[in-house]
Amino acid sequence: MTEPILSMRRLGKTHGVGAQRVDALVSVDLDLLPGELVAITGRSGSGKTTLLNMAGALDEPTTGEVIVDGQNLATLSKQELARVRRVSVGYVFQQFNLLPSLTAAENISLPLELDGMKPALARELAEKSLDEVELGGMADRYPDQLSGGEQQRVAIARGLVGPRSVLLADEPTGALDEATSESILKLIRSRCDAGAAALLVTHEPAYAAWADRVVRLRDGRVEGISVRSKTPSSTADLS
Amino acid sequence: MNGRRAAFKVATRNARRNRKRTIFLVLLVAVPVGLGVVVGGIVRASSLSPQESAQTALGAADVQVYLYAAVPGVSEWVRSTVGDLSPATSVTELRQAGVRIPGVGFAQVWDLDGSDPATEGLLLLLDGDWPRADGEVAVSPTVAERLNVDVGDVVELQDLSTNELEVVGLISRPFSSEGSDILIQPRGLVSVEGSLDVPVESSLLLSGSEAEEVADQLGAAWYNEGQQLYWPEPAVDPKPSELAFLDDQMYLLLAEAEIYELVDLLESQEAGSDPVAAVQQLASEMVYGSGSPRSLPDLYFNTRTQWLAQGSVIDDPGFVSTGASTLLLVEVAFITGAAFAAGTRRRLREIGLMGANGASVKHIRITVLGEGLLIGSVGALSGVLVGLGVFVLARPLIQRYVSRVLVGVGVAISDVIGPVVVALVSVLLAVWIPARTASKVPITSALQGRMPALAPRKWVIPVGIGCAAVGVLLVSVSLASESGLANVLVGVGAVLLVGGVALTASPILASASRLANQVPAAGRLVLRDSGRNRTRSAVAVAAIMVILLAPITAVTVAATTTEKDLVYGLPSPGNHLVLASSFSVDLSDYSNPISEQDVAAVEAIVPVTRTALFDTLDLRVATNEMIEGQESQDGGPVFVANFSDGDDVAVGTEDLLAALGDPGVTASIAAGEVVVLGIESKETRVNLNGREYPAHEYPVEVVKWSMPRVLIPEAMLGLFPDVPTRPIALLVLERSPTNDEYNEISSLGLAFNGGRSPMSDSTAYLIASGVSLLVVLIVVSLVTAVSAAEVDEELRTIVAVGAPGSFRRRFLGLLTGYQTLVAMLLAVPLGLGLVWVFSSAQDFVYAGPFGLVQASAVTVPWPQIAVFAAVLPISIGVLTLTSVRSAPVTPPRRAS
Ligand SMILES: Nc1ncnc2c1ncn2[C@@H]1O[C@H](COP(=O)(O)OP(=O)(O)O)[C@@H](O)[C@H]1O
Ligand SMILES: [Mg+2]
Repeated sequence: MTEPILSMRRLGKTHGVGAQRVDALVSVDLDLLPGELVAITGRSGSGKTTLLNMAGALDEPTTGEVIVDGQNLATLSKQELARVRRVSVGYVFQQFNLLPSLTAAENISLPLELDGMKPALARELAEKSLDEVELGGMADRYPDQLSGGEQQRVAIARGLVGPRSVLLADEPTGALDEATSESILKLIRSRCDAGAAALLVTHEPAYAAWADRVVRLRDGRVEGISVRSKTPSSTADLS
Repeated sequence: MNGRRAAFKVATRNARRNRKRTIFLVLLVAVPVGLGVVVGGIVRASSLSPQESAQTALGAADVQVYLYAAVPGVSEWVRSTVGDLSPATSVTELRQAGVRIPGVGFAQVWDLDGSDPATEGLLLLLDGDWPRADGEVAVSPTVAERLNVDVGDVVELQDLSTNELEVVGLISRPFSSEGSDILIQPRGLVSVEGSLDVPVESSLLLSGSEAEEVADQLGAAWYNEGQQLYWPEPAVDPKPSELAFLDDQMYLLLAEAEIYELVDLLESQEAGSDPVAAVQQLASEMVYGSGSPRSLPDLYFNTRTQWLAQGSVIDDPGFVSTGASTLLLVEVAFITGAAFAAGTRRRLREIGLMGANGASVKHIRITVLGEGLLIGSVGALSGVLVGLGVFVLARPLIQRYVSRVLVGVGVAISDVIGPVVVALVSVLLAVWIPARTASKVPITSALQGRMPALAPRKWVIPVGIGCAAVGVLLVSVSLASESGLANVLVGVGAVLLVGGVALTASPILASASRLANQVPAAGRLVLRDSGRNRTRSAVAVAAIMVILLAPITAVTVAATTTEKDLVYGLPSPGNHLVLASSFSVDLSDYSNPISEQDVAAVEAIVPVTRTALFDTLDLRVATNEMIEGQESQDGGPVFVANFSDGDDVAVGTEDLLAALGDPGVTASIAAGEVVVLGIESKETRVNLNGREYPAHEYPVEVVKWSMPRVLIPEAMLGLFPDVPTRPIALLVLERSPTNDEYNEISSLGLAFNGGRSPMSDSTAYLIASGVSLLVVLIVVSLVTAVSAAEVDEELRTIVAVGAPGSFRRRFLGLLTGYQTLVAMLLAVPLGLGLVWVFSSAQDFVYAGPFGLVQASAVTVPWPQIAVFAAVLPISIGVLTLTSVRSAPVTPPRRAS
């Protein structure tokens, strides 16, 4: 059996203290294997973003642990956590994912260059990554010269550039129309088929159908997990 | 650390994307740097370096021995002593005489040998040849122009030669193309000395490697044995035993009649309660008091080492250029800080995105600091280029102004380094806090564009107060010390004091924001906004505070000075002119009495309402205040300024009383009373030549220092039969003379005073208020401009929920007024504190005929300061309110 690339053990997160105390996440266990696409669903406020933030080393859990690529995040310094965000996991948010002053290619190569990679090599990897999301000719465009869907593709390319192998996508299609959303999901699916692992937050059940597993959250707890044996080739297959 | 370059790349891209803001800040930095470079260049052009100063005094020699009050033989004594001490040291005699030449005015006449290596560099040969023989002369361009001669022409200079002289060369002093100089043949002054009516000043130049050492030994030999050889015989020998207390050297300078006068004074009533002091005062008046003070022969030494050591840091062009730009750069730093504080908030999401992609705390700091570094260096560089450009373009003007031909660029690297370094440091410091803030925001908050409201840091207030206290201490300790380092420490102390107080702006704004609930909507938002966006608003407050320090200290210093000046009488009226004496061509000094013609000459220039030509009496005068026990703070005696330079008592003639036009004075004189022209109306006593008289003091504005302060009725003249009198004139003009009229009067060859009124406190106050209103407005509008985008984002939401568009104007008006008010609350105690600290070190007393004031006393003009403090914030608020635009009603645009 393959080792999980990301695993969470009895993960809990509490925001605030006293009367403002919110248990955003309570004892969540979850493993993500290479090549796997796991969807996380749940109502607004159920703790999806909180979970993703823990996985992406953006925030520290109150209890439990997160292990990325064999490293327990609790044992890492701030510097080392930043490095995990550079080389292990990549984030895609709902919108405004790109730094407006950098071109598409520069946005993608940013984490590599921040990690000290030579600009030329980083650029090469960024272009390869752009090819993989079918935006080969758009390396030198600035974000405001790209459509919403193209911007999300660039963000996905950045999320999986170079050594990065875990994609954390927080409602990546939330601001897109249906057709574009579908192509984005297809892209994520195909990247997973090519070996990447992805956690996909969505509250659209239809999109969850693209996942290998669906984790339903409710009030910060895992309410249920469903596993699919076959993935559809399009949303049409599901209806 | 890896990835610095990537972070810096983001910084440069950000700078490029915010092009308008970047250019704006670059210009803000460039202007002070450019200004500093120009100012430094001008200072460099107009001042001599220590080396250059040494050359103008010494030529190529090493020591100048100045023969003061020389008598025959001193010069030979020096030569032979030097010869004994060090045969290798050469001695050259340098003679100069200031001669009035018709058509030229005063000219300096030299007779040095152009080929003597010792005097090389004292004069430069511009054209032609050095004069070598009788009948040859060289002149400076100014003289040549005034006499309309050129090399090869012939001139008549009667004082210098009975024959015609041929102009063989053009000469000039080094580093100055102006100046009237005439060089005659070597040793030429020796032969004409007798026929000149001015003394030839003589000094000896020593050159050689041992010269400075020789000078030391020469000095010792002079004081031990040399000077006594040339002392005159005492006029009365032996010294009368009554005068045993008189200084021996002073005694040698007294004439026989004077010695007996002193003895008489000692025994007479006139000497008053302390006859010894009275005699000493009279003796020193006899010796030093006249137009040409007497002295025993003496030697003064000027060595090259002393010249080279003279340049003070304060005069250094680099220091001046740095100082000039620093003042402005402090404000630029504040504005830059506000711009970056606002920018950081707007770009929070981008900062979050960078964090999510693995940017560390340091990477994020670099993206902000890098932008500052970029702006600082581009700004400094363009400032230097613009400054150099301006300096080069203005070169003809500057050369005329400093009357000196500039060689090379005219600006040294050291003039440029200071402003550039200060620009970089101040911009980086300004950007440091926003950079820190940005890097501290948790990534998850940043991604949502939320900046967590940070509690005011606990250390700020204690550190601020600590800094201020250390500053106060440093200033007062350094002011008391004399060392060169003290100047620097005073500056550091003042900066600490101001910085410490500025630090407290942030916690003050934070606590004021807690009052928000108690005020109506716009005010509440202003308090909240200033409390939440503390970096930006505290920076604005500090920027305004620094500016307000200037008017507050200025009006306080003005009020304090006025108070101190009052001990010497009321301020001089601008329309009084006192003619004291006129120029005597024979004696070449201002010793002739004023005549009707002198008065007529002035009346021809400027309209005069009343004229009084009246006699003054040379009496020793003391008033009430001076007679009664005066002690300084530490119990020692105080120095009491005399009434005026010479003649302190005037005869109250009808003309004079009419000119003064004070009915009280007129009545008192008519009643046979002595009158004091003072500062208040009261009975007093006056001591004239040791005898006391009752007198009445009136507050009358007269020309300080020149106008006699005591008037006696003509009938009293009989009491002072042997006292010499001198006529002087008081002219009451229709108005103050214009500059042209003033210059014309100056050219009459009269010693005169008045015609200029000092700036009144209220004028100074109005100017200070007006200028500070303007400067504060500029800073406020710059700060508002750089943070408007951030403010607008918040305002849009408010307008969206139904507030009128004019809400923006009300909000910004209140915001700027509020910031000015807080700045004022800090600036008033700080400004007064600064004045107090700086004057506290002065431990002497201003003592005049009308009272005593401790120099350390500070007079605070409370009413003016209160009005200023109340009116300025309101004006700033109202001006902002009326000048900014209403909020656009368009829907919010995203910040990306
Ligand atoms: N920084 C925070 N401070 C306080 N409460 C928070 C914070 N972030 C999230 N929460 C709370 O935690 C819960 C989970 O939030 P979130 O993970 O954002 O939900 P989702 O993404 O599923 O909509 C919510 O109740 C939310 O109000
Ligand atoms: Mg969410």
